[in-house]
Amino acid sequence: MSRFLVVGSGASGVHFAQSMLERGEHVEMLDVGFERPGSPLPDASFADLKDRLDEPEAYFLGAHGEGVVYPSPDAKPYGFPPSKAYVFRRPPDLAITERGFSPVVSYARGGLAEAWTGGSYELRDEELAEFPFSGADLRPHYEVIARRIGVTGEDDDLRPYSPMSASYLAPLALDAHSAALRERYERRREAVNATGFHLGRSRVAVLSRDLGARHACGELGRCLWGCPRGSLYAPSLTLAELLTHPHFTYRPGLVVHRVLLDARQRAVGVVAEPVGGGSAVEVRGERVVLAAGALATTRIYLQTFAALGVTDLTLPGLMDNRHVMVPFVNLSRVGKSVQLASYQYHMLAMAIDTGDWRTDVHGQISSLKAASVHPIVHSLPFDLRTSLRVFRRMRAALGVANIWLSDRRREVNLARLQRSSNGDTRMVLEYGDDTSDLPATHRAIATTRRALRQLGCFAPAGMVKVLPRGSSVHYAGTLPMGAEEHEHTCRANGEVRGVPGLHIADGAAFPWLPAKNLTFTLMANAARLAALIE
Amino acid sequence: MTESRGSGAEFDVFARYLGASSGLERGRSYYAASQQSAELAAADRFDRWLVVVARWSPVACALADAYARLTRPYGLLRRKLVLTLAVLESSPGIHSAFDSALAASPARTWLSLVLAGTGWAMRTLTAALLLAPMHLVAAAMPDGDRNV
Repeated sequence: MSRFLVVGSGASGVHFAQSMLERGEHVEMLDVGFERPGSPLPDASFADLKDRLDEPEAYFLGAHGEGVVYPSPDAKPYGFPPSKAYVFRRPPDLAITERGFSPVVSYARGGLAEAWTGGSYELRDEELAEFPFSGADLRPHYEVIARRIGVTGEDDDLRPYSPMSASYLAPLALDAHSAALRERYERRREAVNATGFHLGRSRVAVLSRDLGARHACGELGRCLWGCPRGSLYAPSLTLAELLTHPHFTYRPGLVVHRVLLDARQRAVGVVAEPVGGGSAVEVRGERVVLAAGALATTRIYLQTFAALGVTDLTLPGLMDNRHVMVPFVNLSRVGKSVQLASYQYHMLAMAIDTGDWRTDVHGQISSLKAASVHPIVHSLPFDLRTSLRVFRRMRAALGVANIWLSDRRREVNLARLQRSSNGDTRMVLEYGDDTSDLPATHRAIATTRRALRQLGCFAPAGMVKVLPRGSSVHYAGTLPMGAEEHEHTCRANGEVRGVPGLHIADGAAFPWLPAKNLTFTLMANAARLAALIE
Repeated sequence: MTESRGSGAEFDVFARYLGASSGLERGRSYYAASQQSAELAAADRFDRWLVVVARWSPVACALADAYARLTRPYGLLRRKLVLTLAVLESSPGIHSAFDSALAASPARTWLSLVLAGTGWAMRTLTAALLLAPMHLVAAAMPDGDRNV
């Protein structure tokens, strides 16, 4: 029996496990663990792949076109390629009823961060106001994680909004479009800052130099399809390291159904079922650490209480950042060429200072480089041939600002179980209040468009997309950490009140959701918990 | 077999409309294999008629697409054309004609954009004159398949 039973191999789980192993503990990890397919031709660039693969259409579009992004009212200007399908695959019988919430869940090795874009931002001290620990408690763990995974960044105008206490690697060289935006920003800084808008380099978990067995970014333009060099960090890279550790046991192929409690309601293990069906198994441990991702952890927790006869438990406070896409055209870049073989994701980030840290806005600005073009072309307002012609002339000028707004726990946004007539249960996720932040959303959009205009860009109002709740994939808040002794909350060490031995190590335990990518903080918090739990 | 030949001919016309002239053999078979997708299944009478018109030739396809963009932006013809574009941008040897930037001097670029816009406006106007009557007929036909 392991001392620590960790559920899930995502960003939180692997870093909790690694910190525990570094302490000399024994860790057993249970996981569904759908595996990433191999990366073909690891030295080939995005364009080279199309010429060198035996079946490039199947690689880029799937065997029967399932990777094609067809026109629809909800179509995004990008799609996840077939090579990322494993990230979003769900085991059977894990259906979710969604009301006002479109969640993305992952049962892959490495979890949802297998499909992230690497944004790694520290929280400010004030952003931890509702957490039962301070910035000083968390900073050393940002440092631990930054050294493990490699995060690039630069000390710039974003520092007041995204501190840089950890050791950051030098950033990658800017692509031509991002460089043009930054140059214009530097020339017009005063006027742009007057709108509340601040620009700087993204902090990204991508390597600008080799780190262990991983290689520095080779600028292949394959980030979205799966970096073949390990340059862009993914938790599966850490999992691969853990698998070589003698005190680590990995048990894939299991869906954890609930936590096993003893007569005193102490966590003593979990009940899991094989993914392919079969008898449930009990796996015992001295402490159970749920790190399956906020939504999957919430499901396990609800099912644990349902097994005790508490079938009507409702967990309020579900959070997700409001996510808005603001596409733009940089007029000075129209008719220029594009280097497709380059780092594909965002190289610039932005903050909107609203005067109140609770409502400050964060975003990342991506210029268009390697990409599937058909989702963008069909969104233009012309026939397809004209759209293609216009697109190719303007390709070097296109970009998108992805912006996020903070979220807070509210009673009407909740998770609960629903029992069907045949006795099966399914999780219900309900986002009852999707309108209260719309005024702030529209202000953020207006500020972003105004700032982009000052940077020489045109951001058509008609192309702005306010995405459905759930799209940011920054889920949190159902089992919040806090100082007060409330049921279904956690202590600073992640232990659930009333359930000794059960710890929550993922976003479910976050009591507030800043307008930032959460993953770096999830990893740092998991390392912090590992230092606290005896 | 007949269906495969039919979709192959359809792909050729759609690809020529989008600007491809050679290297279509692989794409043709991939296009045929993708026809079973649920994304290409649902279509009402007018959607199907637009596809029939578009199959005639690249010029007819241009007019049908211009009209579809206005009236059926998510319809069957647009979906088939987007699949064609997706195949072309992934095809060895010819993808750069679809996925690369067209670099030129600012004057030439803006002139090209103006010409493209003018051509689009003229095609759309012509398409509306030619295809709106067909649209009205489809809407007026009495059976249950009149979701137009």
